[in-house]
Amino acid sequence: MTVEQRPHTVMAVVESGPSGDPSPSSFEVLGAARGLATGLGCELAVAFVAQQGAPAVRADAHQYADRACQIAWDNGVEMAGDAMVEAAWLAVQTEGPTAVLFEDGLSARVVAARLAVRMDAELVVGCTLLKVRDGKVQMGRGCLSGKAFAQLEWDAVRPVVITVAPGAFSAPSPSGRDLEIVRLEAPASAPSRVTVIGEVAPAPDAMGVTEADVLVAGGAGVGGAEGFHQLVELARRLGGTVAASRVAVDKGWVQSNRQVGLTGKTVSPRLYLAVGISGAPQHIAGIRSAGKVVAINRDPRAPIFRVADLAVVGDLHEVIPALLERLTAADERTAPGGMES
Amino acid sequence: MRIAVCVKWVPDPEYPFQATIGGVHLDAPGLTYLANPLDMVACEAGVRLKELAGGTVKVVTVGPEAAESALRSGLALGADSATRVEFEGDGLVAGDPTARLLAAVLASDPPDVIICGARSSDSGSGTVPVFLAERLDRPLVTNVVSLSGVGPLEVERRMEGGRRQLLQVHPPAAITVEESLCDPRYPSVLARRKADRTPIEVFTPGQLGVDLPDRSVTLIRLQGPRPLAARLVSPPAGLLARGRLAFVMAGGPDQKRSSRRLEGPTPLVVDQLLAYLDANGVTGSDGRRR
Repeated sequence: MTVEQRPHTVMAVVESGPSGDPSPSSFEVLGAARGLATGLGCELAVAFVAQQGAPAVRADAHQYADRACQIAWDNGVEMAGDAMVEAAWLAVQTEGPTAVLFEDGLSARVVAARLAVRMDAELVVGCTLLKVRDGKVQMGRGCLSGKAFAQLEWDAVRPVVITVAPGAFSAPSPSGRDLEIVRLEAPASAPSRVTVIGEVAPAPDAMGVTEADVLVAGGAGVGGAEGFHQLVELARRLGGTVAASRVAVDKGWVQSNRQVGLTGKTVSPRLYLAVGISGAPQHIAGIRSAGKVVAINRDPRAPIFRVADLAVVGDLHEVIPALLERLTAADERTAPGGMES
Repeated sequence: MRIAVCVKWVPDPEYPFQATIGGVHLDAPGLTYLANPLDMVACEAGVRLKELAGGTVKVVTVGPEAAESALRSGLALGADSATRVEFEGDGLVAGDPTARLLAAVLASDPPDVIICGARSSDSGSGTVPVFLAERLDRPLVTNVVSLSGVGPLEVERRMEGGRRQLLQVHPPAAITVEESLCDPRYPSVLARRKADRTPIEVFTPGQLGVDLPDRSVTLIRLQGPRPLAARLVSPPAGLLARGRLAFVMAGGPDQKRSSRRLEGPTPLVVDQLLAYLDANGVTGSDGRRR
């Protein structure tokens, strides 16, 4: 197979999620890639990669690029990373780009690095700055545990693979042009040499608030450290961990590294369960990017309800134990002898 | 089992860099260098694996002569031998050459298991182990938080979303380890003195037959941290001072959420709450996480 060499093409690799929609941060990758392509005076190609059978990419998603392809990989792949590398490699062979951009993340870094070896390319991960000046590309990333910022320069000769840190670039505006999306099928990756046994639910205290998918957050209403034991138990059952408002941390019920809000951490879990938190603006500032917000509060006028998807008006000291009881009952029903692993 | 642990010699991560940097090199007063903390976790994991399965542990580094102190830290934890590849490059951007040199030195005497820290404290990109595994064509498991078994290694790795995945991998393989895997032991004086006397094998890139390509990405400047700009929002003029303050602190207008309200007797409320969690994929219909 001959690789068509387009000496200057910037390519963004975007994973379309289970709904077919690229995540909001993939549009930031497209934004960064568009900026680079404009600066270098070249075209922007986008490769949508998805598991086979995933719904088609959102109708306008390709309008952000000059060329678009969609690559599906086989469903039966154990290690999604292996398949991602094959899919991205196929896209690279099709487009012959000088720069390939990914969204930064634990697994994306591995995919980007493996692709860089295959392409014999340089790699810059966690990039937060990308601009073209005099034909050279300036890049930047945090280093020394966030205590310093390294400015790098790429001479735009040897190809480069970049992972783009979320939150650093803005999404581009769509061109409005309709492109044909070229559909390609990734070759099967070699059988994985790693066997996946399964997923295990980690203990809540072994999980940080920024990494968890589900957060059970407690505030003043919880009433004490004992109340938080129940929240920990709930978090364990939901596969998440515990967070807290400033009040709960100040009172010493929870460690300060679990504080969410303006003086704590900014979190973006899939589900944020706010228990006994009234919802001061300082707290709400920390959960802006959360997926679904469920609030349990006794006060029907608590401000947290204004940002909640589901507002539960009730006493948490009744609701939480009842909820735990129901979850326990459901557990016992399905696994009477604890046979299920 | 033959185990190789890759270590990096890094500037002390506890050092307050902010005040002193500016320019390309770190020449801060009183700055000391030490072995990358996660690589010490890797050493400890290697030594524990050796204690379990028998065999030897070799520590390997790529760097200047001073980097041998990182090797000696690894030897003090219980490693048996040490190798350094001579290289004078800035550790902040040396991922690609480092991996090429490590691959060459490890390929000459292939170990069963390669263990690396998940990332270095200076560059923090975590790419050397991936480059290395790819160049040596080894299966790689990253971000390992728990390690057991010997025949096939049984590992638990950290994934996005706080999830943990249980995996099995047969040597020859490579893994990268996270801090929570284990605590490096505190070496005894005896162990330290023995480490100081252990000879260190040194190679140059030429001896390994590695021709490092010209770099296309170079470090041009180090500066103080550049936190990402928060989105600035200006509150509507119609609000009172208190309202404007709340608006700015909360980072913008409250997102319009189609709020549903649950009220009434607790069992009923819990029923609907569970149904909601279920519908959003947090609990399975069996009350477990999917």
